[in-house]
Amino acid sequence: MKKYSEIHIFQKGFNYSQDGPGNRLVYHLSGCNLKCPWCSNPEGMEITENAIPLTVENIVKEAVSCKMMFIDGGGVTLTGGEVTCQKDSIINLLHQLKENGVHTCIETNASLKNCEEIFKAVDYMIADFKSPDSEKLKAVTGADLEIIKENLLLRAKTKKPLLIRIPIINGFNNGKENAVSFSEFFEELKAKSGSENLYFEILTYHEYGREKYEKAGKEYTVKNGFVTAEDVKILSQEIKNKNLKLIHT
Amino acid sequence: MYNFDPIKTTEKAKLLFKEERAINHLEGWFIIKETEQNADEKYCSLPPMRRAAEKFREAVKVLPLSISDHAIFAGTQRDAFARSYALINPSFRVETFAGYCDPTAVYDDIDPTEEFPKERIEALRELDKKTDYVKTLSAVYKDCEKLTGEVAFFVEQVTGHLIPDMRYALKYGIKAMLSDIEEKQKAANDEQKDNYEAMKIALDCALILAKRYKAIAEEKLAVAEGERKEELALLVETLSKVPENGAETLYEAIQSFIILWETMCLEQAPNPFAFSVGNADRIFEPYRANDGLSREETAALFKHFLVFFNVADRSWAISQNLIVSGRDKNGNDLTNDATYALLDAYYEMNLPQPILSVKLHKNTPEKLYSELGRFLFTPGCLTPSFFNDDSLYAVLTEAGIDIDDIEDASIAGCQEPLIMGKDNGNTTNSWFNLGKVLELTLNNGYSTVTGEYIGTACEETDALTALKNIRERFYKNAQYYCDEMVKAANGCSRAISHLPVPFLSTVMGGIESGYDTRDITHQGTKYNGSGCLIHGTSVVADSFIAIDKLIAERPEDAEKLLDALKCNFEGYEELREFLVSAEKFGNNMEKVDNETAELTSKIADMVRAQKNYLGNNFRPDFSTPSTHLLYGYWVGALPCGRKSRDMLNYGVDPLYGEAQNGLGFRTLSLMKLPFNKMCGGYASHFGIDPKYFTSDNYEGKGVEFRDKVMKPLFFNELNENVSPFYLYVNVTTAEILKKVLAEPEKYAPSGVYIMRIHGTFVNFLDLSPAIQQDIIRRLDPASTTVEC
Repeated sequence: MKKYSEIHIFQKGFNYSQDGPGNRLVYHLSGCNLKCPWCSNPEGMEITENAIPLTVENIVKEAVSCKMMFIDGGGVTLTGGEVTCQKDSIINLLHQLKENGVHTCIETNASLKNCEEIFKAVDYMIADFKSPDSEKLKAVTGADLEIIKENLLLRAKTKKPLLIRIPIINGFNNGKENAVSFSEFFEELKAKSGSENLYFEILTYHEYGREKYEKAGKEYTVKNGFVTAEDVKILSQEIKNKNLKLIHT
Repeated sequence: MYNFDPIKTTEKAKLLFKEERAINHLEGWFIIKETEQNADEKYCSLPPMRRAAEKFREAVKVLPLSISDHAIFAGTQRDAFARSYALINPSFRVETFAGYCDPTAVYDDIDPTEEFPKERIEALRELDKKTDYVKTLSAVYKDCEKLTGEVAFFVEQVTGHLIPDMRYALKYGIKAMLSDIEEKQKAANDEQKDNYEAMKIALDCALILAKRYKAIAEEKLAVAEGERKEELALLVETLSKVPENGAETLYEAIQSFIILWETMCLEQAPNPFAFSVGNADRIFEPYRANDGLSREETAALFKHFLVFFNVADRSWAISQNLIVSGRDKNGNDLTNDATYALLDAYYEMNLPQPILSVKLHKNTPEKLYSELGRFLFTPGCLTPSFFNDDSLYAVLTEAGIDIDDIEDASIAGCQEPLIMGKDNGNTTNSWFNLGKVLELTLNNGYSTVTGEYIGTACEETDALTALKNIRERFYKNAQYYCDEMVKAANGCSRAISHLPVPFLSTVMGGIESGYDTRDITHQGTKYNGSGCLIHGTSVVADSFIAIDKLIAERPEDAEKLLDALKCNFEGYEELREFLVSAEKFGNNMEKVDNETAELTSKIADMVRAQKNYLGNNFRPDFSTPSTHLLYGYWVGALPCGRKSRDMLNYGVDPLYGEAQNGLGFRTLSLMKLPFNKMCGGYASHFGIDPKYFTSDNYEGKGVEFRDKVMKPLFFNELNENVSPFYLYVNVTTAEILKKVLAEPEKYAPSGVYIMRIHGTFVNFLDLSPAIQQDIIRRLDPASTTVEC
């Protein structure tokens, strides 16, 4: 049982609306299965000696003691690293939070198999969708597009809220062709799942991670990742044209 | 009327401020005091209030006056202030600061010149020493010097620190006030009749000033040309009308206000610190609306109004508060067009004075937050203090204020809530140092800083017993020091009553009551109390918890702890680390947070139960306006691990460095405190890194600030207690401030980089180095992180 009762984090704190609805207590979990070169939290890629082990019991206790801060529909958000890398403990945690009346949210890359229970249990799910191009996605991040698509459909079919975020990066997934492919997949997702609780958000490339990469002695390999307003407009338009809900948190 | 061009009027306001900042000597206050002193004998047979009024009138008649070529209004506060305020004085040092105990020390703040030679200055100082006021006050300080020497407490006579209500005077003019007084005199007793005479003379002083300014304006008008001629013509015409008669236009209202304010400050020269304007937007909106002025035109006039509050090279008239927005008793928002015009004027001028405060409530329009974003996120720009008007209604109702008066709750000085024109709070009357009380409790009444015996109310006992009973012993001593403090504080109030303030009294309810605001036998103002600023709550609570931990885990080290405190932990580093590892306030930890709340509540009750010179209650105020540094310097090492002479915690905040889990956890700890008992006010500061706000414009960031900071703290629907009602912020980082200090020409080319310290804002570059470093340390970034 102990195995599923411990979670490794590298950071925690509160944020409003950008990590799920309302004011939320956010835990950044250590360890990630992907290696995105633009990652803004590269310190969370591995479970290192700096990771802080917390018991599920203590997290639940802490969350309950913070209830007063969960205004405007807030609660606990688990993000990363990649949440599903510690899936058994996460399942345990999500159930316990729910039993204690705490709203739950995860931010995930949705690229790992066998996480159905998490995707079904969590109240609000935020998932990255980085590229509709399976080869490019595999080459740059290591992710398998088909697994991601399956996971998103699985979640969407629950009809619970799913926010899909597209990090738009110059030279990786910008431009008209990508925009069309993105929106076609999103339209298909909506059709197959029948969910009205699907939301989309465009995140423009930033370099919050550059300094952290350099501090860790790692090379920051993205060259000229910044996108133009035109890039954002093209993708926005495609998404809107499909009558999908584009939001900004 | 003449139409002021907003752009040109703004340019003039900027030139006027520049001209003011070039003044590096202040002698007006000296002329006033000298004239009054010289007239003392002439009026010695009159009752005190009338004597004060007559002497003041003599001074107003001879005080040199002028009108700048950049000014569109006549009037200055310059002659009411000395260059005294320590924290903006470059020679200020924490180590040598002795408080403001010597009422004649002000004579050191005037540099001898040919006109004011040393002999003239010293002669007046000697005369001043013989006054009833100075003699009484000196005796009070002498009596309590053992207890104030290392600041177990401090006391002072309160000057300024009130919020006059000028609205009646603006609307109906002095003529109407005089007529009201005549009417009141008919049914008055002899003492009141005399007092009313004094008030009439004091009101005449404002008329004299207006007439003298009018004469200067006429002289200038005779040789003026073009636009200036039109401006001066309007000034002459306006000074013929106000403040004697009611104002009709915004221009007239501002001019009238300036003359009234100047008179009020001159009456208290050289100490009219921290008078506050009150809800300026509500004061001026009727006149703006009557004129139909646009936002730009209104802002242009307000820019000159704001410059008026700045005195000489360092804006020596400190802690003048101006508040905007708020709600009525039914929760309706009272933001108006003048609110936004005032904000524009503040933003464009970015002056060190007057301090801007904003009353927020749960129905505050989003537009106000949007417009506040630019203040928070422009580096070096002034930031407003925030007040939770919903909580103010709850706190002030519990303190006995009529609900109909609370709409006029405003802020005097830094953060003390008072009712405009109806509340004499003597806000800074006493200062209570709980850190020192704990030190003396642990050391049987001896100071661990100097070894001097100061006092204790507890029996001597062995170390372990003393530590086990630390709470009981601490509260017993706290009561002893509190009683002594109150006796001395009331002595100070009695001393200041020797300096009646008939003019101030006319805008503080004196026309209604017939008594002086400072009267110690009759209450001149509707509400009255005395303030007590309470220091060191969280270091004491943290210490209690550290002591519990020691007793539980290492009871054999009880004696060792007391030895360690005596030598500031030198040679006891391991023990100190053990103590530091105990839970600390500010991290949402139940036990220590509850301890802090309980301590705060008990001390608030202890202070609230004390009576002032009129039999009214003291008001607990948990704020420490840089005194966390000054008083911390006199506090020895404490069981929480804080070292000797280090700062105390600021206001109700955790000690810097002790809250490590970010803004949300710190907010949760704060919300456990009994804000309903803090009717005297409190202080709290967040230093926030701008990177947590991701919107690409100021308006968006303002709304983000509401959501991430203000809403959870102030308007939290899940909080069943009275929510916090005060916060000031600095949105910056230590790195940015260090750069500003290293290269001021680059980062603050205007020479002004506004920062907040406690309730006031100051030019960061004007501050003494100790205070600059305090601001940097107290940004305390780990206590305010936001995840994003």
